[in-house]
Amino acid sequence: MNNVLKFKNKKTDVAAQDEIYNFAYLDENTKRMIRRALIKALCIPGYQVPFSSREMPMPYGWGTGGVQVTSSCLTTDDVIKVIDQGADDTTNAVSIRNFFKKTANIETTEKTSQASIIQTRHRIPEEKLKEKQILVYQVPIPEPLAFLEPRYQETKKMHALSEYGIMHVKLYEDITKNGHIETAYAYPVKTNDRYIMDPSPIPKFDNPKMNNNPAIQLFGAGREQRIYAIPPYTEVTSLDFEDYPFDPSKAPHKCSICGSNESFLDEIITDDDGNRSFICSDTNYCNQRMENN
Amino acid sequence: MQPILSVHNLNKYYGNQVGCKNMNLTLYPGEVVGVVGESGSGKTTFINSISGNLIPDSGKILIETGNETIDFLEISESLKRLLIRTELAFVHQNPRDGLRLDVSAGGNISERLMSIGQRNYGNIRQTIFKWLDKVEIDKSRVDDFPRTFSGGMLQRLQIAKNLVTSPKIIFMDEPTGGLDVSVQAKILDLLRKLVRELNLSVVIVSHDLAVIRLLADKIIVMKNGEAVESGLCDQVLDDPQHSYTQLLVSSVLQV
Amino acid sequence: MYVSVKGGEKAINNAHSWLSEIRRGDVNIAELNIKQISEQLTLSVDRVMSEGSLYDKDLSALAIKQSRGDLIEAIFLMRAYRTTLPRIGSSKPIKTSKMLCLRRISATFKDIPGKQKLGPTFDYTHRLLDFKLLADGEYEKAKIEKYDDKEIPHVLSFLNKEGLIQKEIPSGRTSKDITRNPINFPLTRSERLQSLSRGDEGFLLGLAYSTQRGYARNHAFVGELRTGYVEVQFEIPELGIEINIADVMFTECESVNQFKGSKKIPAQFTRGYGLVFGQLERKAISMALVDRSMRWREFGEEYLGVAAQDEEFVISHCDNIQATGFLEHIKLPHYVDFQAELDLVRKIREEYKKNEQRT
Repeated sequence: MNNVLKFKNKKTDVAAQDEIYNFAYLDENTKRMIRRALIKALCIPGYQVPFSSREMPMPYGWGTGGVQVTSSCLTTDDVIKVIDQGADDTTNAVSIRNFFKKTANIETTEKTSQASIIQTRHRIPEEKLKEKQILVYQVPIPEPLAFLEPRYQETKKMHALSEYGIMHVKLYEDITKNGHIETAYAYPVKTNDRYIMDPSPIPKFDNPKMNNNPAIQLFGAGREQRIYAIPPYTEVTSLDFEDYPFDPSKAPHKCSICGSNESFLDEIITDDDGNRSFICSDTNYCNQRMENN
Repeated sequence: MQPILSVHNLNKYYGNQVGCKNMNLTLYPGEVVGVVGESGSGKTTFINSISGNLIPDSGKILIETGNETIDFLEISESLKRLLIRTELAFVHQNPRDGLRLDVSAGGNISERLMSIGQRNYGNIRQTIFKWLDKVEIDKSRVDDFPRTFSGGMLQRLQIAKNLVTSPKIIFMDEPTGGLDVSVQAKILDLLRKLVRELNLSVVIVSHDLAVIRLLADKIIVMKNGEAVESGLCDQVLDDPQHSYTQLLVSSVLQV
Repeated sequence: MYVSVKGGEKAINNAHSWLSEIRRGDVNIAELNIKQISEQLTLSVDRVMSEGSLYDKDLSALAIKQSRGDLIEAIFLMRAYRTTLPRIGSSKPIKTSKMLCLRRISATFKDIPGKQKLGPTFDYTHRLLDFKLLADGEYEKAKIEKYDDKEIPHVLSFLNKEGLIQKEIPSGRTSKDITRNPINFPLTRSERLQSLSRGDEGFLLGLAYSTQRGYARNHAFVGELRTGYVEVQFEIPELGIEINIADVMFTECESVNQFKGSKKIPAQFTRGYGLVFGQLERKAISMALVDRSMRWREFGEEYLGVAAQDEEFVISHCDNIQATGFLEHIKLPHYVDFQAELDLVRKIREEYKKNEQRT
C-alpha cells in the first residue's frame, strides 16, 4: 500500500485518469501473488508454476506475462529496458516501455548495462548480463512438450515423472529426415539437469547465454498462466546428441553497420531486386559499438 | 536362484465384479510363464495388474532388480514409471497401442534407448538396425512410418521397440491375437527364437493353448478370475487335473 | 542506411491520433452518447458485460463507443478495467427462482405454474428491414399488465419430484473465482461454468450446434429459459446483515437432455446449465448444451472424441480475449524467429545441393 500512496503523492503530473491505477498498474495483492509464484519458480528451476494471470490492458500474446512479472518486480528505483526482437524501438517494445513510464513513472534506458530490469521478446541482449540484473522473457507457449502433446493434463505428468523420451524422439526424427535438428528458435533446454524448459522463441543462437548467467531470468506466460525461472548461475543445456552437438549457428555474415561478426543478425532487403544486407538485431549493441569506434 | 518376479494373493475388482482373485505367480530368470483361459477369465486383468497398467486392490508384487527387491505396489509413481520404461516391457495385442504411429520405425525403437540416457545418434542407429535384423524387418524400412506396415510387421516392430533396452521382465498380452494364421506362426517362431537366444523372462497371456504350449515353461489356467490349475506346462497339459483344464486340452486336441 | 527499426514511437502516436479521429467519424453528425448506447444497443451492452464479466451498463456502453463497435475489443476493455478493481467479497448465491421475469418459456410443457411469458423477443418477428426506423421516434408501446411477483419455481423441479431427471447435488465447496485463481485441468463444474459464461458466444454457438448435428449428440430441449432481474445479496460481516446491493439482469437456461441410462443409473433425463448477464438467449442455450456435452464422464457416457466433449479443448479455446490476442500477435515482428529459420533452411538446402552433386 505504501507504494500506492508514495506514487500518488509524488506524481501530480500524471493525467487524472491514470491516477486510479496502482504503481506499475497491478494491485499490491496481485503482485504479491505473482512474487510468490516467482519465488517458487526460482526454487525449482525450469518448473512451470501456474499463476492466476490477470487481464492486462494489452492483448494476450503481446507480452502480458512478461508485463505482469516486470510489474511485480518493479520498485521506484528500477531502471527498465524493453526490447522486442533485440531492438528498443520496435512498436511493441515502445508500447510496453510507455506502459511502465505511464503507470510507474519509472526511469527507462536503452543501455543494457544500465538497466536493472530488462523485459524482452525473442532475444537475449548481446552484452553480458551481471548480477542483480533481471531479465524478463515474454513467453507465448511455456510448454516445451506442447507440440508433441497438447494436453496440460498429460504434459504435467511427463514433467513430474521426467518422461522425456518423446522429446528426444523428435530430435532423432529431425536428424533422420534432414541431417539436422530442425529447431531454429524456442530450442528446448534442460534446466539444472531436471526440467525440460522452453526458452521462449529466442533464436538458438541465444541459448548458450542462458547457461550459468549471473542475472536472474524470469519467464512469464500470461495467456497460458505459467511462470518459470532460472536462478543465477544455473546450468542450462540445449538438448542434443553427442555426435550431433547443439549448434548455435547464425547467418555467416558481418553486421553491415558495426561490422560485428559475433552478434545475431537480422536480414533486410535493400532494394526491389531482393538484394540483402545484414544488421545486428540488438540495436543497443550495434549503437554502442558505433559510438566506441 | 531367486525369482525375478513374484506375485502373492493379488486381487482386482471392478465394483462388485471380480477381475481376478487370489492370484499367485513366480517367474524365474529365463523362464516363460503362460496364463491361459477363455475371454472373460480375468487373464488380461491379471497381466495388466502385475505390469503397472492397472492398480490391483490388494496383494503383493515383488520385483528383483539384481540390486534390490522392489515392492512394486508400494513404490512412488515416478519410480514405477521409471521401472516400466527400463526394466519392464509390455507387448500389446494390438501393436498400434504400443507404437507411435506418427514416428518412424527407427524413432519408435529409439525411444526407450533415449529415455535411459543414450545420446549418441550413431550408436542409436546401429542398435536400431541390429534390432530390425533380429525381428526380421528389412533395414530399408527404418525411416518409414508404421502406418505403411502390415499387421505382422507392426507386431515385430512393437517387439523390437520393447526389447531394445533388454528389459528384465516382458509381459505379452495375446501377442499373436489379431493376426492371420500364417502370420501368427511366423511371429510365434520369432518369439520362440528370441526367448531362447536372449534368455528372456516372460509372462504371456493367451486364449490359445497352442501358443502357450509352444512358448511356456509353466502355465496358469484361469477361469472366472481365479487360477484353477498351475504347474509345469508339459505336466499340466499332458495330465490336466481340473475339469476345466481337461476341457481346454481336449478341445485343442480335437482340432 | 536502413532505419525502419527506428521511429516506432512516433508511428504509434500518429496511429493513435488517426484512430481517435476515425472513431469520431464525420463531425457534422452528432456524437453518440453513452446513454444512447446503453439504452438502445442493449444486447451489445449485455454481451460486453457478460463476456467482460463486469455488470456495468455505462462502462459497457463506453467500451463499445471507444472500440468503434468492435464487441471483442469492447470486452477486452472491460476485462482490463475489471482486473484493477478490488475484490471486497462474494455475494450470496443468487436465487433465480425469485427472478422478476421479463421472459420465461419452456419447450417441454405447454402449461406450467407461473405461466409462459414471451417477453421482448425477436422470435416471432418477421425479419424484414423496418424502414420506419429510418425516420425518427416511432415505436409501439407495450401493454401493461399486473405482475404476479410470487416466486416462480423452475420447470425442471417438477421432473425432479418424479425422479425423472438427474438431481444436481451441491458440491458443498465454495466456488473459486477463476479470474483470481489459476485453473488446473480437470476442472470443477463451477470453474467450467464460469469459463463458459465468459466464453465467446460464437465459439459456444458453433460447438452447441455441432452436438445437435451428431457430434456427441444428446438431444436437447430448452427445459426452461428465463430472463429477468435478480436481487444480489451481500452479507456485510461488520454488521452481520445481508443487504440487497443490486438488481442484475440474467438469462438462465436449463436444458433437458435424453439419457439412456447405464448399469448404475436407470434411464432419466439429464441437464445442462447456462447463465449469463443480460438478455443473451443464444449464449445461455449454447452454454447449457456445451455444459451438458462435457458431462459425459459424470453420466458414464462414452467419449466419442469430439470437440464438445473435450473439456480441456473447449475451455482452453473459448475465451475470445485469449484467442484474439494470441491470434493477432502474429502481426508482431518475428524477424528473429524468421531469421533463425531462414538460416537453417538455407543451410539444409545447401547441404542437399552438395549431396546431389556428389551422387
